[in-house]
Parts: sequence; structure tokens; C-alpha cells
Amino acid sequence: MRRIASKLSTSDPDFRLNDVHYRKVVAELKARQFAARSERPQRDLDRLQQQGKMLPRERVEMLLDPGTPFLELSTLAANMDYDGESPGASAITGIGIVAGREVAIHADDSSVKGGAWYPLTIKKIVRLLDIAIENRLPVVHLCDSAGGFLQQQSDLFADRHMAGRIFRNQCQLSKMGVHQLALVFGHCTAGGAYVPALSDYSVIVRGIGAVFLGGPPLVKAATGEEVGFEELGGADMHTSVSGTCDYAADTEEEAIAIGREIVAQWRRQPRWNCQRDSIEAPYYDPQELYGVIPHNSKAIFDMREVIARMVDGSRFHEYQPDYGTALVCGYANLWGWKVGIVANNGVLFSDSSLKAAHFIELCNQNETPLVFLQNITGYMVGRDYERKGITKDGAKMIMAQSCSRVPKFTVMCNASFGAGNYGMCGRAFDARMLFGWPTYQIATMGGDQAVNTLLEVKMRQMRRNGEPLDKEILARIRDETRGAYEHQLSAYFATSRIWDDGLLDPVDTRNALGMAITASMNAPLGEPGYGVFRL
Amino acid sequence: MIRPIRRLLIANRGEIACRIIETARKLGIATVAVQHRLDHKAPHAILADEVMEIEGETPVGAYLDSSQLVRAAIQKGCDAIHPGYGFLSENASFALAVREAGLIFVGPGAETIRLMGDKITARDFAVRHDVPVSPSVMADGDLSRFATDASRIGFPLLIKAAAGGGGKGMSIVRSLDDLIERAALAAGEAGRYFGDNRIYAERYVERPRHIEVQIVGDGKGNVIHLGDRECSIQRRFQKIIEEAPSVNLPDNLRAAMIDSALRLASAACYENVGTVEFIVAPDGAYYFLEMNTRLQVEHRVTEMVCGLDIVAIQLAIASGDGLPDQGSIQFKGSAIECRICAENPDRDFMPETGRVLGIVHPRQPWSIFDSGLSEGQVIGTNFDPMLAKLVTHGASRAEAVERMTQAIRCTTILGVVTNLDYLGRIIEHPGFLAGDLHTGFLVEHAPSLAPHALGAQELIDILIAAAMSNPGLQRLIDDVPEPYALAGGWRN
Amino acid sequence: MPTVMHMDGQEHQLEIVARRPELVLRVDGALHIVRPITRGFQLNLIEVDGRQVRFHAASEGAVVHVRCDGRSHRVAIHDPRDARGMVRAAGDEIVAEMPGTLVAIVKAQGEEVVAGDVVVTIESMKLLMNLSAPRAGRIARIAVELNQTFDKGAILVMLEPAVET
Repeated sequence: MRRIASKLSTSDPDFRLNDVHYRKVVAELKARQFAARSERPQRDLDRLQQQGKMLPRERVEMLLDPGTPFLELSTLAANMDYDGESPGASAITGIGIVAGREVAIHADDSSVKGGAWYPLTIKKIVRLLDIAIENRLPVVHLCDSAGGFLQQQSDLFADRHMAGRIFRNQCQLSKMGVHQLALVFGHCTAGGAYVPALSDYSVIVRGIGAVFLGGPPLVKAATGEEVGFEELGGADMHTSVSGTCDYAADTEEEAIAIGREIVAQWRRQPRWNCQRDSIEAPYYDPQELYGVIPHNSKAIFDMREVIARMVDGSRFHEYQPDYGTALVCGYANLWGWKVGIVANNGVLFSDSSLKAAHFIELCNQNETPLVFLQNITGYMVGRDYERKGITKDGAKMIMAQSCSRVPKFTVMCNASFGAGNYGMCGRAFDARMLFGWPTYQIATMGGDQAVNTLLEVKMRQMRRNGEPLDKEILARIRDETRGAYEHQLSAYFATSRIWDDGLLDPVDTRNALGMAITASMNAPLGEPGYGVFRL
Repeated sequence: MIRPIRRLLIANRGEIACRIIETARKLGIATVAVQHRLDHKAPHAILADEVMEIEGETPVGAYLDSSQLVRAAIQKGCDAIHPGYGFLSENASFALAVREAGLIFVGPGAETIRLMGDKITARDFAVRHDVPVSPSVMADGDLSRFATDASRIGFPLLIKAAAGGGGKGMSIVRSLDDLIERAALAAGEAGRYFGDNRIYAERYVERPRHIEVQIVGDGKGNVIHLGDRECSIQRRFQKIIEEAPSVNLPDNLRAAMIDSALRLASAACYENVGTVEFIVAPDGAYYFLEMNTRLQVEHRVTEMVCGLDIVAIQLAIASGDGLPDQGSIQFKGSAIECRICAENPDRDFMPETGRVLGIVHPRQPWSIFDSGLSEGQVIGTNFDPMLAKLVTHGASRAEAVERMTQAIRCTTILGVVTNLDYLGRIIEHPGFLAGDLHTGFLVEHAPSLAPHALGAQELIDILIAAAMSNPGLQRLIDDVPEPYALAGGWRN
Repeated sequence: MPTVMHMDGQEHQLEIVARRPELVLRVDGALHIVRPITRGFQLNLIEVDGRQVRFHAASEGAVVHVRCDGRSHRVAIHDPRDARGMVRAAGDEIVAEMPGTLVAIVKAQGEEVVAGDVVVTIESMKLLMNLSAPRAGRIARIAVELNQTFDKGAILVMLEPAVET
């Protein structure tokens, strides 16, 4: 593979302008992440201190092997929901290294409303368990939750991917022979009680940990029986009488230490035999990505400049360099793993769609994981393109991509509009991991198109109702519509709803993908096979 | 009459038992070790040709049980018993019991042991044979008269137990006020340790040196000497560093002391090896201290300078052979011995316990490492805290000292706190190098012998060395697979 | 969450910062690059910030004995992540976990023991079980006589109270 020759100059005024702009964007991202991770009302912090409890993030840090990476997922989940009352959707999830083994970690955030589960909390936990299932990753649950947030119960209980899905996923993991460990640091009530109960191993802390279907108040209301926490579901009762939990610990630290020893007993899973070379840092500094991404989100940029700042040695073997040039395909190494990259350099045409479908099939033949770098406004529209079969060529790309058996990873670099999102492995297409950069936009269509379309509909409605329409009113409606749409277009809106697995500082993309790809190697490859390609 | 020794029971343990086995093996003598079960798999038991288990309420009790030991020797078909040092080595009744059982006791006769074992009779014997003794007075029960008599000698005085040894019951008294109180304490201590509460007071020599003469006698009045040893480096009246020959000792003084020693031994018709100990005052006066009727811990330094095997000499004499020819004995160079003890010099020499996790010792031809240690052995407080002896030889004292410095650096006993580093600091002390020795040396130089504070860099090196040797941390470092190991503590 | 080390009464903190390409440790706040060169009992050789450090070391439980540059050191290492370091302060007693009979006294009153030494053997449910000392110390008393039976929870052996060192 040859090193990509960057055409950018770091001293170019445009590069400098981009750089200044993107550093501000990243600063805002970091500020928001910091707030979601650390800023809590004093009374919540006081309460935890009073209970002698560690902060959830301290637990996670202590659980992890020191000096090892932790890929946190969906840090900004729920940042635009519930009036910001549930930072990080009241849970911490991620992939980290415990006793030398990669594990998925779910920690209830008891520094927010006692760790109560909001609908998005459940979505975040379910997503983590989906990741665990897809990648065969053992899970460590750090349980400390007051249970479902009752005010939102209609949005968190009944449906297929709501609370029950957590337990269904736990069972599926167990069936697949993937270990789970629960460390019980607080009360696990009602459904929450099944998290430790359905884990292969559980450790419970004396005095603060408790597991029961109904807590003492509910028991009193239901049967009149009066019973204390410890007696009803405390550590000693469960580890010596009921057998619901396996180990009792005197302190949280001891629980974590026992937990780490348990994980150390788990057999290391064999990875499927993906080709791996020694790791090499990119030749071009990933920090230069700030200067690569245009400050004007509509300006096109060459994805090769991004690839050069992401892959090992900035080396890239480009496939069909002169065909369907609106799409860049090729091989590179990332953290030593061979990957196939599919990246947008403009709108998708028939030729670029066919190129993508062909390259995706090659990667499947070659057992090479796929990385999609999205900057796509859609498939080309218009009479000539329809006549040439743009729709059926796009369908081929979607079919090839959708039926891939190799792990797929998607990064939303800039635009993710319309069917382009589908072809480029959007959320619905089961990318093992999907990350976004803080400036990415996602919707069925771009902002201007959408606002104009919506305005058109609105005007027709008003005319029918005989409402007055002057320039001023039109401008006001246009501004309102644009405001509402752009709000929904933003990466923060998307990540709030967990349409991705988290926003990344572009510089971190390499390591995030590295970890995601490494983790994906735990699951065996499926059998090859496709549906019917419309030829 | 020649009675060859074919099978020898060693009524001891630890390094000295190993040491005796070593010579016996060279001479083709079969060895039987005795072991208490607490000494299970101890090197002396492994080294010996046969092992006999001995029992006792306490482990020390077993090694002091003379009838059991004699029985063991008979049962195993031994023709001799070597008592080593300590335990029953200076016990006249044991020597008698051994001989009455028809066995050879490798040591002097019971009478000689009894004579020299009692400080009072030994002193009287010395006086009778013109061996200088320090002015002294005996306590006869009336402590106030004892005080009056003793104060007539002049202060400072040293109070000692008549039956004592090893510093037990000893104290220095500098005024009349202290005397009665200390005398009572000493008598009590003597009673407890030796079952004999007789004490006496003698002139205490300030800055005294402890010098001793190694003699060998055939029991018929013929004696030779193997030179002198300096044992002035002591803590709590117990030797920790010895050397041969003594440092800066004028020839005429050495000759006079050797002459005294030979006279004393000859008069006693001494048989086997023995040591005559003297106190030497700064003005060159010397006084008889006591005679040890056994092999000394520090016999190695004498062996190294005169090239003889003292245990072999003991066995030869015991089986009826004659003495080596004094004229053939040549003294070459200088030798030093350090006693490595399980004790903490930084905490008033408190005994230390633990499990021996590793032993490394020098292997140069000019060094000897005598130990009864093995890895995994538990060091308790049941036995003497001495774990090993390190001995070096050089053409000159300076060379022997330099080699000892090296040897200590090459020696490691892991798992138990020892005085090894302290010994190193003594050896490197300018006062020691200058040979300015006296028995109060360690107290006098205590501040400069204390360990220096670790430098920042040293501290880091040690902490990291410890961390890298901790299996838990090592696992924490090693267990992280590529490629995660390369990512460090990355967070997104 | 750093590893805590104790030496000569001082507390020190150590963290693993990176493993590759070089091992980086943070000791009391400062970073050090460490290269293990040889390991073995005879002599260990490591490089700390390019400086060669030769030492002997042996580890027993949480304690590492190090001899380096002619000095011996005892370093206690407590990694909060290591469950072995979390063992609760061992008690002064051996308590019967089930009823049984005392069938052998391995360590007598007054004897020194180290943690893990078998002190007595009991028979319970037709099984012989060795009971070990919970910590190092001296046996103060064997509370049950040979061949005597005892109930669950009975104190079988008492150690002399630990001396703070």
C-alpha cells in the first residue's frame, strides 16, 4: 500500500480557518461531554457521599485495568431530552479492558435521580447489550438504580425494545456462552433485580446493595409484612440464604476487586482470523483533521485527506481509482487490522453505486471488515439518472451492504441525507458501531430542500384556509420552520436519541474504530449470502 | 589409644551442623543429624547421611535433651557425638553421659568443662596459673556487703553471672547508688537463665577490646595455639564481627596473651579445641575473661588464616590422634567474619521472623558462606537468630575488609529482616577500617552507623523494582493484549 | 485508582500509564519509563529512565522484599484492584464452621505460625479437614482438647494478639 500524498497545506488560509473553526466545535463538544459526565446538583453528590458511595465513574475507572483504553458510548445521550435532567441518559456504557479482557460495561448513574431508568436509559443499556451480543463481549453491570422512572413509564415498559429487552438480551448472551457479571452497589428493585439474577456471577456490597422484586414499602402495601432492606434482600441474605448473589463484599472496592478476579477466570475468546499487521501511527497528524473539515458544511472535501489522518502509516490501496470517482473505495490498515473503506466524495451516481456494491462483495469474499465514512447528500436525482437506473443501482449497493457478513463500522463525518444514509450503512443497517462527528447532520433531506418543501406545504394549507399571506408572515414561517428543522438535523439531537453510539472528536476516530474493530473480532463471521440483486 | 570415628552424631542444627557434616564427609565419616519437626527439611538434616527425629515440648528442649540424644546415637550405631556450639556443647553432664554410654564426646572432659564453665572456679584457676584477671569480688548472698567490697575495686564495675555467658545478667555500674539495685536484678536474671543466681563484680575496663586465643590440647598437657582473634564488634555483649589476627596488636602483647592461654590450657590438661578469652585495656593490660571449651562460631577466621580444618582437628584428637606441630602452622593474611542474624538493627536489634524466600551468596574462593538456611524455611523465635556467617580472607586486613564489602553486596537473604546491611555499614565505617575497635564501638558510632536516608532516585528505583516484582502488578501489566496495550489510557 | 505502596512508613502511589511501546509508570506523580531486561531469582535487571537497576526481589503476599545497591527493603503493595490485597484483617481465632471432632494438634501452644500453616485437624462428616492459621503469630491456646467434639461456631484456636509493627 502506498502512502496517500496529501494535497493540503497546513499553512493554507482555508486550512487555518477550518482549523480555528473546528477547534471551537470540539471545545464545545468537550464542554458538553464534561457537563454530562461530571456536573451534578450538589444535593445528589452530597447524598452519595452521605451513603458512603463512590461516584459511578470512579467505579468504572477502578474496574478497568489501569493504563488501558475505555471507549465510552453515547456520552451525550438524552442531552436534548427531558429538559437535560438525565445527563448521559443516567447511565455509563462502553467497552474497556478488565483483567486483560475486553468487556462491555454498563453502569447505572446513581448521581442522577438515584440512577432511575428513563426511556433513553433503557435504550442505551439495550444498545450496549446489542453490541455485546453482536460482538460476543462479556458484560459487567455496575448496578445502582432506583428502577424505572415512573413518570415516564408508558415510554419505557411495554414495547419490544423497552425494559424487558434488557433481560431478554441478558438471556441471549448467556445462551451464546458470553459471561456476565453484576456488581450490586445499590438497590436493584423489581425488573432491576433481574440484572444480577440473570448474570452468571454477582457480587453484592454489604449495607448498600440490595436485590428484591418489591422493596420494603411495596411489601408492606401488598401484604402488610414489615421487613428491612438487609433482611429482605441484603448481601448476606442473598449470598448465604437465597443464593441469588454469589459473593458478599464489605466495600465497593472489595466488590470491584472480587469482580476483577472473576473476570480473570474467564477464558479468553479466540478472535476470528482476520489479517493483522503491526500497528503504525498515521503519517499525517490526526490533529490536521480540524483543518481538513470545511467550516462551511456544504463545501465538499476529499475523503482521502480524512483517511490519510486515520489509518496506519496513512497508507491506502485505492480500488478503481478512476471509476465512479464520487465514491472512494480501498484497503487500509487500522490498529493493524485490514479494513475496506467506503467513503463519499460527493453525491452517489450509478457508477459509484456499482463500484460500492462490487467492493463490498470483495471485502466479504476477503473477510475484511468495512468502514463507511459518510458525507452524503443522497443519490443523484433527475430524468437522465432514473433512466440509467440510479434507483436499481442504489438498491444493489444497499443489498450488498445490508447482506454483508463482515463487521461494518460507520462514521458520520458530515452529511447523512436520504437514501445515501442507507447505502452507506446508516443506523438501520446494523453497523457494529456508528459514530458521528459533532458537525454531522442527519435527515431525510438537506436543510434548504426540506425547508422549501415544508414551506410549500404550509403555504398551500394557508391559502386553502383563506389565511393572509404576506412577505413578513412568509419570512417568519420560513425562520420558524428552518429553526425547528435545523435543531433536528444536528448531531446533538441525533446523539441525544441514541441514533449513533456517540459523538467523537475527529482526532479520536482512529482509536474508537480501532477498539470497535478489535472488539468485533470476537464474534465469528456469518455465512456469506445475498438477496436478489436487481441487475 | 586410637579409636577411629566411623559414624558421628551431630547434636546440633543450623549452620554449625552443616559445617561439621562437611568435614566429616571429607574424612569419610558417616553422619547422623537430629532434627525437631520444626526443622523439617532443614539443610543439616538433608545433608546428613541419616536423620533422627527428636522430640521435645519446645524445639530447643529437644536439642537440650541429653538422654534422648545419647539414645539416638546408640540406636543409629554412632561411635561419637559432636555437640557443635551452644545447646549441650558446654554441658559437663552431657559430656559425661556420652562417655558413660561408651561413646566419644568430641570435646574436653567433663571435669574441664565444669572447671571452665563456672566463672568463679575458672578465675581462681587462672589466678593460680599466673594468668592475669581483673580485680573482682564475689557476691555471697549479702548484697550490701557485696556492694561495699565491690566499690573498693573502684567504678566502673561490671556485674556478671557466675554461670553466665552470652551477655545475660551482665551490666555496667558506674556508682554505688546503682550497684545494689543492679546486683539484685543481675542475680535474678542469672537465676532465671542459668538456674544459678551467683554473681560477681569485676573492674570494668573502658573501651575494652575482646581478644581470644584459639588453643588445641591433647589432654596430656600438650597444647598448641592457632593464633588470636579479635571479637570487639559486639552488640548487647554478643559478637557480630570477628577477625583474625587482632588489629594493631603489639607483638609482645600478643605473645604474652598466647603464652597465658597456653599456660592455662596446659595446666588444665585441656583436650580438644578451646578458646581463652581476654579483655584488653587501652593501656595494654589484659585480663582473663573466660575459657570456652568448644568449637567457636568464629572458628572460620582462624581456619582461613592458618589453613587448617579445626573440626578435623577436633575429630582427630577425639579419636586419639596427636596435635599438629606448632612449628608447621603458618599464619597467612587476614580473615573477617560477619554474623548474619534475623534481627532489626534499626529497632534495637529486635529479633525478626518470617519465611526465607531466597538466598544468594558469594561464591568467590576467598569467601565462605556458612548457613543452615533453605528457601521456604520459616524463621521463628524458637532458635538463635543467627542465620548464617559470611567469612572473607585477604592477603591484608584491608583486602579482607574490601572483600567483605563485596561479599555483603553479593549476599541476599530475602523474606526475613536481617542485619546484613548494618554489617555492611560497620565494615565500611572509617573507625572500623582504621582498626580503632572496642566493645562499645557500635554504641559509640550508632549515629554514623544508622542507614542514610534514601535519595529521590534511589527511592524511585526501589519502588519500581518492587512493583516489577509483584505478581499482581506484573499480571496487570502483562495481561493486556495487543492492540489495547498500545492505546494506553485513551479516553474519548 | 493508583496502587498504594508502603515503605519505611511512607506511602507512595504508583500507576500504570502505558504499556507499549514502552512501559510508563507514574510514581508519586512523576512519569518513569521502565524496561524489564532480565528477570530471574539470581538477579533482576531493569532500566528506569535509561538507568540500569540491578536487584534481587522476592514477593510474599502483599510484601515484596527487595535488595538493591547493598540495601534491603520491604515494600508492601496494595492494589485496590487486586482481591488478594483486600483480604479482611485476619482474626485472632480459628472458628469451627461446622460441628466435629478435633483429631490432631499440629501446632502446639506457644508455637510460631505463619498465615496458612496448618494448626489443627478436625473430623466432620467423615472428612478430615486441616484448619490453618489466619495470620502469622504465636498460638495462644488450643481451646478444644484432642478427640473432643465441638459445635459449629466454637473457637478452636486462639492466636496471641497481633503486635502493631
